[in-house]
Amino acid sequence: MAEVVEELRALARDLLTKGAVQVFVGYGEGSVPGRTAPTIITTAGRAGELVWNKHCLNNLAVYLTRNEVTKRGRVGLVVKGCDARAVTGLLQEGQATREKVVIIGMACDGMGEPLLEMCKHCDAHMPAGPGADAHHLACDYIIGKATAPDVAPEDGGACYADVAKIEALPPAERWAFWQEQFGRCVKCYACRQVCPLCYCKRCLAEKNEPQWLMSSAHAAGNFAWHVARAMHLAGRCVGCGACERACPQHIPLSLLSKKMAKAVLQHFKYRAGCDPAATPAVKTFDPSDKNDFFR
Amino acid sequence: MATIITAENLKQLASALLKAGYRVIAPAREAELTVFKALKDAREMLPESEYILPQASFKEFVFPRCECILRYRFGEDKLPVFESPNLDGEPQQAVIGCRPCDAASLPILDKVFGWDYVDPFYFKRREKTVVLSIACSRAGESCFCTAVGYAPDATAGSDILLKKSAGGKYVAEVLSDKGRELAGKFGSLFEQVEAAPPVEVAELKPAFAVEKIKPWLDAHFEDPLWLEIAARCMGCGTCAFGCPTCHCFDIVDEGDLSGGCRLKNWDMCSSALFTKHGSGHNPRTGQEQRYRQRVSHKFKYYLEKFGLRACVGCGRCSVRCPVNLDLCGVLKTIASKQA
Repeated sequence: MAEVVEELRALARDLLTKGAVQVFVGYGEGSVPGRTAPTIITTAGRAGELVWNKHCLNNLAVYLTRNEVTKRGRVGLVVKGCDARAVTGLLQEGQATREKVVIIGMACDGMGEPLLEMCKHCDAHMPAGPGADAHHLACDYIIGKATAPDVAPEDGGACYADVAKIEALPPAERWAFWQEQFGRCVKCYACRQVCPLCYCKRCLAEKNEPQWLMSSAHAAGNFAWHVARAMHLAGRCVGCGACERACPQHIPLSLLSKKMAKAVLQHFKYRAGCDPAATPAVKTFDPSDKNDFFR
Repeated sequence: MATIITAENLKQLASALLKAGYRVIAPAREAELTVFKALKDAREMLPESEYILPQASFKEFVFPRCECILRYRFGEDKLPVFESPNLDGEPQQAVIGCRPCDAASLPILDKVFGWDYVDPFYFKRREKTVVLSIACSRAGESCFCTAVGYAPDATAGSDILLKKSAGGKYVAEVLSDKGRELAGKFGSLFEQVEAAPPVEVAELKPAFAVEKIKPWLDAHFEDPLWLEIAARCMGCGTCAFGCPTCHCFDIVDEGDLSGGCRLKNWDMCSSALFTKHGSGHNPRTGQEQRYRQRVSHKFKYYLEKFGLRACVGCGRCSVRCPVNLDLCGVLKTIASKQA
């Protein structure tokens, strides 16, 4: 780990010194043990603040959508294999420009102590490096070597076991389950703010002429928000889990996004962010679509 | 003379208060979270050794996250008929087992809600609330109460303060008329002893010199530090909504052609929309300006206007922040600078 950290710091120092990037986004020490903090540096002198360890949970791709970061120039961005999928999504949706970001892919054996559940189903321990084929996002630099083996894509469906449990419930129980979960929502919008793909400058939740969603944190407003959010991320969510980790109320948000991902995979054979050459499900139009309202 | 209550009798007190029709608010578990909850049963109350701080303060019980402040319907003549919700029926509330930092937030909130217009929605509940806090015998890793003028056994806002002693007993310091009334009404659960036994109170060295914060803020409205600190802020409201003293709200109308409701909802200064004018102009264009507002409101404006800082040092903002933007660390940085 120590060599990896040194390599990362040296690279950040070098990129900032020669002006290849004007701002570097990585992880730094957190305020308490067991946490890291996204760290944004603009001078080579601060490269020593960067760290790499088991607690680099944040998906830093979200900073590509933040003017506070991008206005400073070309961004050096530290990504894990899973985070790279969000970068792919942003590139596909025209929210980032490949030339304006230098991507540093970190080999990752999984995050968290104990290991995060999502990391047990990971098929992206090693991000693709320079020279990767068109079906992989080619990072500009790769640091480290992953030892954890990738599982099969979608883990042969095993990653949807928790979704299947909810699907198996009778409708009334499913309704009660979500009512209870959404009942805790306080509408802090941490789920939206940390999501790299939730980049709208004006979210529909904040439109009030006409008002699309009730902005209050009551049962109807919370239900509307979470369902709208899930629908807007269908086929776009890359499954990084940032929303669920950010939720102060422990609402199992990834259940919703996984349910959507599962449906998109089943009906469109598409996994968001995995293949830069694939056409995103929400970008396709097929005159032979089985639904009438499309034609 | 000292007043003692045992942990068992504290539970009995919660039970007796429930029987007497009180809403009893205490730390309890909900979906793996430790939260302040209106108890249905006193057995839900967590033993004090099992928590330091619930994940959010109990402000929701005096300042709900979403509250109807006016109902309207359209009468037969199509003219609106207004009705104000009647809060007289709100029950008496007892907060049991909160920490002194959370209790200290009440006198702070009183200022803003009672400054020129006296907010009846807040004060109806506030007046009916009695607070029994328990001093901390250990500090959390993000706690910084001593740096902002409070302490693990601070008395501000508490009606009764309990301090842990040996053998599952607490020494009760009765601090107000409300506290005396409660201790009197349920006197059989308290015991009077000749001499106060020794108590355990956490020690926490102040993390920074708070008197240095305002002078720096006075002189550095524009400063590169803001961007350096706050470029990573995500602009969500998780800090504000967990904060015992954050009190901003938004007013929205929800209704249809037959009538509706005017609601008072929690709001947050970290959101870009918070200051957006009807004209489309937004005086706070960047996240660093919004974060500056948050710090300045707590450590400069509130202090100037009300003589109190709007921070009790509970550290929840740091704990809850998805990008670990640590207020205590920010204040340490500011305090280390020359004003």
